[in-house]
Amino acid sequence: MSSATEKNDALLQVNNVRLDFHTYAGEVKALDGVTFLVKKGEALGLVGESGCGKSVTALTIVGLLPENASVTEGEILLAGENLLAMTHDQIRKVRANKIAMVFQDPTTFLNPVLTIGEQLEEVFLLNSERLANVAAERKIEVEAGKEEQDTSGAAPKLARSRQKKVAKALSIDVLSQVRLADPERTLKQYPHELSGGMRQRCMIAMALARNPVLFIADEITTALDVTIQAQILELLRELKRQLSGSTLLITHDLGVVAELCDRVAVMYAGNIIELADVKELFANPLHPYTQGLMRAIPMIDRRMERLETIPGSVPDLIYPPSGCRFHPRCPFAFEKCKLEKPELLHVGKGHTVACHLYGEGKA
Amino acid sequence: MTKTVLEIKGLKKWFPITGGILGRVRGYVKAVDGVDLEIKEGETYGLVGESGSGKTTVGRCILRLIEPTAGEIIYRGQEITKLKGEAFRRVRRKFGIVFQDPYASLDPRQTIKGALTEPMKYHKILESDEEAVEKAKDLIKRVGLNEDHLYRFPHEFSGGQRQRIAVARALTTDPDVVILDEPTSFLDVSVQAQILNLLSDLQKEFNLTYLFISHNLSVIEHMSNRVGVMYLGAIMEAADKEIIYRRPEHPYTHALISALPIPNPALTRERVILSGDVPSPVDIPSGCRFRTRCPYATDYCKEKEPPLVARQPGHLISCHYELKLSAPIPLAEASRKT
Amino acid sequence: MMALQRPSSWSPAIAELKFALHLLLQNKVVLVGTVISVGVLITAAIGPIIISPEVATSIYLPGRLDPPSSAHWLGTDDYGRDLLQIIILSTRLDISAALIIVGADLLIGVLLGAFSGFVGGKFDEVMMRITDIFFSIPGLVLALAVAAALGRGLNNLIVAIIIVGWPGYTRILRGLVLAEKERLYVDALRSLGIGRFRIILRHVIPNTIYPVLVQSTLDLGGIILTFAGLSFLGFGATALTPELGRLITTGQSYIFQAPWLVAFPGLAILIISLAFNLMGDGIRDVLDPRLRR
Repeated sequence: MSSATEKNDALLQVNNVRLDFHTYAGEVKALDGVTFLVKKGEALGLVGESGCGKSVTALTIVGLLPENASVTEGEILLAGENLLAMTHDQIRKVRANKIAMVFQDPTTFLNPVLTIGEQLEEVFLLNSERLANVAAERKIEVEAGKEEQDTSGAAPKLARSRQKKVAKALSIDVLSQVRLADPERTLKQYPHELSGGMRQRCMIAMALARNPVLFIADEITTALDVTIQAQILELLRELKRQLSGSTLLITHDLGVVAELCDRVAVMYAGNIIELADVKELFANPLHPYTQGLMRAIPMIDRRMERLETIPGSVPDLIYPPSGCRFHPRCPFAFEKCKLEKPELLHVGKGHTVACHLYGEGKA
Repeated sequence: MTKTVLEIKGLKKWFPITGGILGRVRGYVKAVDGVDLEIKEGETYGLVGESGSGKTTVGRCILRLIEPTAGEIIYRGQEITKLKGEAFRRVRRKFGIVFQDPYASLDPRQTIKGALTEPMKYHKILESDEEAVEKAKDLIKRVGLNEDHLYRFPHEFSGGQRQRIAVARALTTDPDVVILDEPTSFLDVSVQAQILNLLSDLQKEFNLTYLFISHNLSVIEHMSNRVGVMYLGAIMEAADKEIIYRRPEHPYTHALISALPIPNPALTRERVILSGDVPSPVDIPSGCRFRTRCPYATDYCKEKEPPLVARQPGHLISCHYELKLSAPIPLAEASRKT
Repeated sequence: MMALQRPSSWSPAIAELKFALHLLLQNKVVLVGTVISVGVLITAAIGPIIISPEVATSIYLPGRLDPPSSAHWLGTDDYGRDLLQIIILSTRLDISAALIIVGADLLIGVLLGAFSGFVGGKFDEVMMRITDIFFSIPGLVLALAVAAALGRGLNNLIVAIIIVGWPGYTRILRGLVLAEKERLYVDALRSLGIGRFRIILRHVIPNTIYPVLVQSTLDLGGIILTFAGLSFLGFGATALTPELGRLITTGQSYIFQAPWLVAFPGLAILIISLAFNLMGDGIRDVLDPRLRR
């Protein structure tokens, strides 16, 4: 691969992914050649309005697409390995060890009849090697008599009872890492006994338990109240400082992006239309959609008499507009926009934009 | 001096919790627990609070979609909570409401024309069908749609368009006060801006008074003249918008505003992060209801509930102490123009 | 300023119907059931046009109990009437009776159910206890008892079966209305000061009636069976009335001499009720939200 050298700091590369949903009404062309990369250790924000494809992109990465979706083109490379070419088993292993995803609504992903402790310990028990190492490190023993019935292989493997003890210790660690006030008590609680904020912390804990290289957070603060959202954002900031992995933060809230991300990718109707460092993007948005979006949000740190609006609404992706999918709503659209899809173009300082206004072919 | 259009005094809504085979009342969800507010003619009063603060219940009590447990609601000098039947129906016409969910607030089997003309005909506001249809045509254009849309069904519209229709419908009875219950929280930002602008335009055009209920601090800031901050069923602080957002004196307001993510990575500010969760409205803390999360709480706060009093004219605060709080948004940045 | 909007202006009912038809055509068994049902309905409707009703009363004793032949495809009965013609005429009577019964049950059930669910309180409580009483007695037994109390006669039999049928629809609609009245549009209508009778009749019922309609098509087969069954037992039709149950009653006296007299009307009942059941199943599947994607 020729570009390998310049992309060697990339952890995840999403290359030209196209995806359709088959529905009764027709083919929904949900992703239209999505391309971006997540660098090692960075937090990348993926922003856009509902239906832009940001969540679908995440689900594609972790291989959790619904049955009626099919990827028609493209590749997703995690440390050089194509996730889209993997079997179900392989991608499951990736989800268990490398990529962890947390969703907007934790209630659907927590088993209501198991305690938080049982669910969390299960994650640790999947990795017996790690348990053995931790046990050795911390000198966790069990009562005499129950000790080591298994002498099977050379690989360090612990007896079940000891494994559980280690898993519990690790669970408590990870729950305090997500700043739950009383981890021991939380372990014994069922999901319904926890508040929304606490459940979300548990989900984050479960993600951290896998020690992922990539942490995907899909609208994880959207359903929360402002003061609880602030707590979770604070936690994410802290974790970002402590951990080495990368984060892909999916949100519709530009405020959250501004607070947490290093770089931002803006999506519209199944395309990445602009990508830049967070400060650069907010100071100097280039794509007409990004500009419109920024002027459409009421901001309490500045006075505006009237909001600027983007006319119309998000297109129906069964019948997406030709050329640039934003052209019917774009105040600067010209002939070429209707005919030709703009490619992502480097405009300097790590800033890329997909818009004909910035190409050589500019009118 | 502008007239008071709507005044609410000591409004309470307690939902009983029943249990056991005999269905005995075991306790109450105190959704609204003593709310006072006063809305002046032509203004937008923003009611802001987190989920469970009771802000939506206040709106519903005004329209008597739910019956208040106690308190008075005074519309232009007339107490309306005791009105019944036709008398109340006549007053209710003076109120409009726009709900949060545009996908659920329209009857899926009724055309837009039906939805708009039904209230006019029902209340005999207009004598003939033709007049009602004319008015529906006028309203649909004023909310930025066109006549053709009258003959369609709700499922053919996007969320933003449906919310425009809901706004038009709220205006069919020529209301005086419109309650906007989270009117944009189901919408994307680009569409939200359209609806907010529309609401501002209509307010001027029809000389409407708005009660704007939302959890979104930025939207409330943009739309309101005055703001009331609710917490666990009561108003914590109420004042002109500028005061609430720049110089709040209640620790809850202060924390709320400082915790709001602002889409400006260049902005550095001090965040106040409240610990813990909002207590259950079934079991409201004794004394000051905010004390369990308040960074400044003392033992005294446990004993006595602070009354909502005016420290300066028009600035109401429910706190025992006069705290010196920093500006939640740096003022230098605050004056920045776009 | 309006963005892409599909240029359709179908009512949701028509859009649903088109989609339903699309799903219906996918299941072959259901399709067969539907085709037969429609065929039966058409036969019932045009029966008196193609066959003179006088056939039923034209007795020709020399030609009685003739076996199936090219002249009389299904043979003749004990009055010498052509069995095929009589079955076609009978179908009309059975089907109309079933439709009247289901229609009346729907009307009663839907109105009572809707008010019960929407108004709630004491009215609801009383209604639910009444339906409980109905459910605690097996339907056929109850119909038998009511029919016996009312005395013989077609109309009385129809009334008896109507009385047994409505509680089912009442319960279904009540449940749906309980959910529907929590929907926001109901609050929106209330906020506009619209009265509750209007809300129930013009908004809530049209939005909840579909599952009940589906149930009624499912019930149609069973009701035909009940009607023919009670008729077979001697309620309802008189000797010469062309009615399927009655035909079997008459035929059983000749079961060894002329087995076709029992076999063909029996087969007709079987086919009709099976076809309506299949169609009902199909319609239910079609409206099942889990199949919609």
